[in-house]
Amino acid sequence: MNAPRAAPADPRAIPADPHAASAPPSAIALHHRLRAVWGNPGGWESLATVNHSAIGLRFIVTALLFFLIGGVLAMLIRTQLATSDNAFAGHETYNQWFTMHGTVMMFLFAIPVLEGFAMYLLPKMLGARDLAYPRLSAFSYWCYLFGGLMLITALATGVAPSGGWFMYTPLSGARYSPGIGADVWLIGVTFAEVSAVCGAVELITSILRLRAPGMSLARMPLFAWYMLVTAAMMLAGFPPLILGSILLEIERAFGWPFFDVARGGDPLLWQHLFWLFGHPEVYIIFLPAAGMVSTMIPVFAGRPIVGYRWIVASVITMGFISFGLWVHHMFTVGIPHLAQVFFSAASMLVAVPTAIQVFAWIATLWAGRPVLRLPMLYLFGFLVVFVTGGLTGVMLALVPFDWQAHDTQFVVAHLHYVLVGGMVFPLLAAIYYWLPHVTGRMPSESLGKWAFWLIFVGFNLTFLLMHLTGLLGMPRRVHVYSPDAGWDWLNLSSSIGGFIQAIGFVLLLLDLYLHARMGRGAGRNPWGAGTLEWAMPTPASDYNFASQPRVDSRQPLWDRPALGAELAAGRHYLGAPATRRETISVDVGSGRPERVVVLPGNSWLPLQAAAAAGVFFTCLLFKLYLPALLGFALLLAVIVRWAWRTGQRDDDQGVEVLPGLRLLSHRAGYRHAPGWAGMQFSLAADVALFGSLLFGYLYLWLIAPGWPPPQWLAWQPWPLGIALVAVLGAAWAAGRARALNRAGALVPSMSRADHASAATSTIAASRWLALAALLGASATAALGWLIAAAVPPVTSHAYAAVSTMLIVYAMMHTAIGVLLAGFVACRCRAGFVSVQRCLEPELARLWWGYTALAVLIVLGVLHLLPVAQ
Amino acid sequence: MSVAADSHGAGRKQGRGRGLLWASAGLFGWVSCLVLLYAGLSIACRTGSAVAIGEPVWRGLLVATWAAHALLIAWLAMSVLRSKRAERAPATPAIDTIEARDAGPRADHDAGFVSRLALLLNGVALLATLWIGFPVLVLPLCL
Repeated sequence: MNAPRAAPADPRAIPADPHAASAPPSAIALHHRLRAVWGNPGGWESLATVNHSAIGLRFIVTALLFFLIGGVLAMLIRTQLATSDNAFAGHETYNQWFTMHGTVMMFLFAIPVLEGFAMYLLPKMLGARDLAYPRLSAFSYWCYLFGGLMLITALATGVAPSGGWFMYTPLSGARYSPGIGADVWLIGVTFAEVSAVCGAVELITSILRLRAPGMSLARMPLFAWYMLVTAAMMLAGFPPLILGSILLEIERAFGWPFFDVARGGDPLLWQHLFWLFGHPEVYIIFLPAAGMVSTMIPVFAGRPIVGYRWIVASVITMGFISFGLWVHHMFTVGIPHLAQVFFSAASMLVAVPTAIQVFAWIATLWAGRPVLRLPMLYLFGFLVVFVTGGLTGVMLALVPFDWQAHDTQFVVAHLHYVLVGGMVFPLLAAIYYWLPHVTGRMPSESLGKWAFWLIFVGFNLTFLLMHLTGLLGMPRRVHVYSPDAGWDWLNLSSSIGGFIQAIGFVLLLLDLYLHARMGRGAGRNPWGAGTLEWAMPTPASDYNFASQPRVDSRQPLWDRPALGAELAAGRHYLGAPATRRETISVDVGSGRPERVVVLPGNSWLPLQAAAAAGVFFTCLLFKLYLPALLGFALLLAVIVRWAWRTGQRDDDQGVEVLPGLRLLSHRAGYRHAPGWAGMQFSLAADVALFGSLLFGYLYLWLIAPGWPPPQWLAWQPWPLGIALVAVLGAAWAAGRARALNRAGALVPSMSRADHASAATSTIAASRWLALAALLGASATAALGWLIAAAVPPVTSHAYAAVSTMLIVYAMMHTAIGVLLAGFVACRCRAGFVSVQRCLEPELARLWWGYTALAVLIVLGVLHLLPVAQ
Repeated sequence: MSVAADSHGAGRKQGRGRGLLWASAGLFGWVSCLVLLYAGLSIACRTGSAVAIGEPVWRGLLVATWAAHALLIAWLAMSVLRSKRAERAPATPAIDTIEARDAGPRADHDAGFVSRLALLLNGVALLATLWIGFPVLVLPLCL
């Protein structure tokens, strides 16, 4: 072993060979220490676990259980359709089945299972010890579970939604869908979507910041690139559906007419909002699976992926273009032909980056020496099925063909080819590939092959024939058909195929069970992979790496096969025993280590917060609005407690990450803090929601029948003026607080007097924050006054309803701003904020900056558009 | 033993995170072009102004929107190309330090990756913009 190298002059510089650092005196003691700090508790205490491996596995297992429920629903559907005039189920029951099948598979299986994989794998692949916000991961999981249970409970009790997984209005409105079925969908799915957005913020920050030193963007594993784009898409794609669900639920519960044509609403607004989410959703599901494919194929081809940069460019391109396709679901609703051609062209365009990836995979196999192991078999299944689905997708992108095939079984066949081909087959490959990582055992090649062939043959028998059924004219969502139609043999064959597929899945489950119980030991890196998740013993420990590696290439394990042993010996970054959970954060582009992120430990707070949110949503479902308010207050209290318990009262002294090299923790400054990135990405999702709301306002204004409204917004200068002055004043006060707190930041070495001065400026900052809170409260009240005094009766017309929603959006932001400013002011006085620990005033200022902008836009749109009219 | 002195991290460039956003600028332009073409067409057809003002005027506006986006994205691609060429030019002798020697090749490699990616993405965005907009030239507006 080489002698330790002297520390470089700049503490952020990376020593040329950190591997040369001496091993700590006792690696065993290091592992004991790490286990004590990172270990997951057992029994009931395990519910308080926040570790990414545990949360990721919970997501995966829960999603697979929901998959089984969705699968049983699929079998029931196929049983009903197996013969003509079948009396197995009535239309209402059948409607619930297909609605819940789609809902469960899309919202409770596909997205969560992929998020679970990402949560489990990403820190390991990136050489980190955990995700950026472990407690947010746990909160995200509990929200997902409670939202899912809400939906499944409705199914079990016979009150499940029955309007299709896309819940088109007016069918899903209160008039045609009375009862709570549609409410269950809207509230349960929103609950699960909140979870997905939290997960997206978590993943995007982790990928950009928490990587191994030296892992630049150019060296990032492809799976991380795919997940980065996917998470960004989730931030932009899910808010339109969340907004649509809120609007529809408000219409159902309180009669505000957003989608009611008789009162100036438009059902097509729902379709726009739904598909603004729904089409990117297809790629949100496909991209992570494609990322798994791009990770596995090089391993089995025995060579690096061909066209790394082209793949990255393709993935980013898909992320954008997939947002330009939503109208292709609406070709038959009466949109001008030219507009249809725009979206038809975009729909064809998206095939190009997809094809680039497929060619890169084929080229990698062609140039390598592929080995046909079990995961590879599923990957071949993926290539065949997905490419077929892609071809029928290009057919449907052509407007004249879509007019013929719209709402037929052809579309059902196409979407299953794309989703099962593009997501389920790669997922099954991934399960076989990474299960040794979780269990430490290898799968059985023979039983897994049987399962594959049954699933593959069964799938194609079911859905290949369904294309023909659709072309012969069989519509979707019908529970019976006439024997005269000539669809009997096709449907029977599809049903037989469906059951063959189900047998395949049962075999797969059996194989997984046997594998976990009696598979042979996997050993380290059993597939000979090059990525970092295999640089650890399996099953993985809770802390992933005893020391964090320095990365110099895209396949660190291929370049340094002994890397795992070096990491286990604590010879790399953060290899000294620690008393808290730590991982390194890096510069986004270069991968240069910049800070040590101190992560929170296990906690009941995420479960408590999700339970409070569950109370809130359940009360909304049963229209118990007072208890719902109590649930919301409870949620708020838990969140405040959660936030209060973070941070520290002393300035940071740095952490020794290598002998002779110290880095400050993320609490020093704000730009490197996960909280700063988290706020920015949360605001990005917020902007998407706001944009969707503005789109809804302008869409109704322009397109909806029944406009102009009978009454415009009344001119009320007092509340308008107070709101404007107060919100701008609050933003200015928050900015002053930030500036005051930062005033001492440029002092290079602070004396005792400097410290006293800095403390004084922090106290002064707290006063400005208190002023911001006061002004924010005034703005909130003025906006409320504006609703009461200026807006026409809210149930009278869609104009009044959507105008009120815009002001409510502004009010929510000012109200949150009040809480945030007040909270940070208290934190300043309690000693959690200093010149160095300056994140919180920065967050308050960022929030108020955005809030002021949003309020200006809202008030401008509301007051200027009628004038323009 | 030394500790990083820049406690705010504000005085330094934030790596190539923003570079990544900048690399995607052309694709943001593509989104903007699609949205404005669709919105403009909807306004023209729904308000009846395509008839009142005249279809050629609206078509001209849509073509101008399309062309402006294409030109903007082309300019973005050209500026990336120029900066990439500038990166290739022989650098002036740098101060020779251990840190520079350590970080130099890696920094060049990373910068090269992001700039090539930016070039690719802007090129793709330009082609995509041309592809989705050309029907404006040939199809009736409000059929």
